[in-house]
Amino acid sequence: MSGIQVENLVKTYSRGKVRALDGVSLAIPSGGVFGVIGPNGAGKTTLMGCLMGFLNPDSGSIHVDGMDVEDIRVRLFTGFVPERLTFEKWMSGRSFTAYQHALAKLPAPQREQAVAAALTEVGLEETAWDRPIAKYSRGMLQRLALAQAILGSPRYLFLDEPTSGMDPLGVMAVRNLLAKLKKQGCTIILNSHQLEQVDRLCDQVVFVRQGRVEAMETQRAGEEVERSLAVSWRKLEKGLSEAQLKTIIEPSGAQLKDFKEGQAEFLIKDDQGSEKLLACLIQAHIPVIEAHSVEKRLERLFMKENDMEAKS
Amino acid sequence: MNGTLIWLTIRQVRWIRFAYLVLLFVTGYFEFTNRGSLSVHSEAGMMVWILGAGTIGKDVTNGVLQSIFSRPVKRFEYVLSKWFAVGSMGVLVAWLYLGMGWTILFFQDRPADLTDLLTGLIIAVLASFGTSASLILFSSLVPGFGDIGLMFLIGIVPTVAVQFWHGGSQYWGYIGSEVVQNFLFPAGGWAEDGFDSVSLFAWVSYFFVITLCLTLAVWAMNRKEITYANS
Repeated sequence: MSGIQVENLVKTYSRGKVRALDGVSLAIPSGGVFGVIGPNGAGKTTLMGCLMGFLNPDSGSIHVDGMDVEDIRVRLFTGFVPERLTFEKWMSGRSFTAYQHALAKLPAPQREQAVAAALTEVGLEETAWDRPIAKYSRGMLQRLALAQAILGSPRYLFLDEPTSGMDPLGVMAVRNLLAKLKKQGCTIILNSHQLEQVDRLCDQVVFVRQGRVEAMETQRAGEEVERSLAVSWRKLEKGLSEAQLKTIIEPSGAQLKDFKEGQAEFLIKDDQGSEKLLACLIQAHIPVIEAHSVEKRLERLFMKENDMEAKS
Repeated sequence: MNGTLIWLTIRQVRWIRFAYLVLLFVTGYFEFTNRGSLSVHSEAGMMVWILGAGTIGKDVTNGVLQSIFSRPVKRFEYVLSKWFAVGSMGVLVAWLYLGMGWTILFFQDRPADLTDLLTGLIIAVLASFGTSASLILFSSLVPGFGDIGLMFLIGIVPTVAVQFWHGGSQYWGYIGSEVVQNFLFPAGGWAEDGFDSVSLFAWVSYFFVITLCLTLAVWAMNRKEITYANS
């Protein structure tokens, strides 16, 4: 059986007082990018720790390609990028990657080549390869963490906040690398706070809160989905009624969600929908001052859960 | 055992520890000059302490266990590799120390017997691997350099306690103190008398202590949950 199966996973801390994971069940199919999102303290990192076999769950089971997660053979085809990059600081980037290559029991004769290829792949400057890790910036550490994780082309890659602290170019490079790995058939499990990144990369996203899976969304990575667009305009002398606005926007396919004099919020289907909406407004001589996306899909997921919490 | 982890453990030893070893060698110089005989048991234990303190505890504190156990490395493999690396370093340094002693005695025109030298070399091996097992156990239980603190405390308490006891209590205090010493520095039976007078019990107790320490260390490591280090 391929993929990862998590069944009724329970993990508590402080002798059962803190329930970090409360009966989590997931089925992660192989070959895609699986995102884990949720507020701080939701249990995402605990889930990651259990998936990597670092933490012992109180009950429940995890199987990777049909093998129990505790089975040492699982580590032969998995890679991991931790959230906190605590490596042997006295080593150089090159020697650390070589050391990880050896620990991974990958063939020694190809070590030098494999290490150079991994470091190049993640975009770590060659001048930094022989520098001690202690002198690396956060972004360089992130690249090094990725380099050691992709050694041996793992079938599963577990990434815990892989781009936090990276510059925008680094984020783009990582995004491209992950897209490439996905094309090669690698299953990526991504825990990230950067919702835009999760939105762009993930095929399936799970929202975790208080140790429970509260929602799961399946999508095509990067697909455009319905969202809100807020538009403001300079008030018209003759005024603009809600009914008039609805008639104006009708050809664009957008729906009026909220209306006040001088501003409105519309539901649009995709980027083309926003273009059409704005074109309709401008054609109707409405002096648009500003237009911005109110929230994205995953942000809405957060908001929805927060609303539910407020109501309860 | 895992060659990569043995290499890593040896590479983890910082230069400051060699400074402490130099101090031990300087003390040894005077010891050999005055005593005139080759003895290495307690020194080998000290060397293992210096070289191996915090060998697992520091990995826990520094948060490097994740990068090790995300790889196909069994925890018992990790513990045994650490034990072997620390023990081997102890042996090498203890042999150097013995070599220094032999040279001093040679130039003082009172060369040591070959038997004494051989006994010393073997005791260095037994004491280093014995103390290494004990150290690994404590290092698997407490973070950082807590192993040294814990071993020191356990070693000193019975010794101090017997000073305040009288009669029967004092007798049992001495027995307890000896048991603790043999646990912390296995191979104690050979320290004074060489191998001639060593009983079967001493051999059994030596191997029992090592097995017990390593088994408990593996058990502790298997139970250990690897969380993120305090950064």
